[in-house]
Amino acid sequence: MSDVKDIPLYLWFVLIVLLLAQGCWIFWDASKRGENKWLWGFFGLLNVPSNLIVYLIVTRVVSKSVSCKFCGKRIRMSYKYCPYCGEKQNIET
Amino acid sequence: MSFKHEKMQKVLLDVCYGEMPMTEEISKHLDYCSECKAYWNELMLLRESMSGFNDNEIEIDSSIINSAFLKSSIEIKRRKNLKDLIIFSVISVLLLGMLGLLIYVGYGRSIIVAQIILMFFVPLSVPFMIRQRIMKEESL
Repeated sequence: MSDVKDIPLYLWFVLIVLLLAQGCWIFWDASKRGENKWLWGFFGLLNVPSNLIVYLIVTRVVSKSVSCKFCGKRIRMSYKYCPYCGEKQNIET
Repeated sequence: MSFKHEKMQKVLLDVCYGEMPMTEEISKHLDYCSECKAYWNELMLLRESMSGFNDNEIEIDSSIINSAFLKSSIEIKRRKNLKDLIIFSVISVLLLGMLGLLIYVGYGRSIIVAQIILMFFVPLSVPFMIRQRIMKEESL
């Protein structure tokens, strides 16, 4: 840790670019999934790559649910068809 | 087509649909302007040829309209997301620029320490986040 001054500047630049890319990707993915995109986006800017892994685990393990527009039952947001009434749901944006 | 003709032809369209009355000014313009007169005649011809159709006979499939509305709402949402992404990128560049500045003035060590702490402690919050989401989903 005492050699932190020896870290070349380009490595810092790489870290910043990685953080930016990660934050932007998380923001875009969260907005597509109907998550809180601003919160997740800024969360993605904090650390690389653990925050990306956390985001992927949290949003994929417990997928957000919405009401079916036809029968009103709660279904996962990623479902293309309602498992109860069989009606087609919104296409992912 | 000049701006005056274009404006007049929009007015003629409204007159044709019965949304505006045929004023003296308009009829005088039609008398001396061949371009607008031709347009007016064309509109009259079109109205005559369409008069045979009855609006009630046309069956409107509601699923087509619903799907059009759905597509348009998806497109609006996509554009909004794109706009927000641009705003987010600008804010992020500013924030990370500040971080770069801090590194440049000699706070690199503190930033590395913060990164290491986050790397170890953020994954510990995963079970709490998942539990929170499950509870929220179940309460809906």
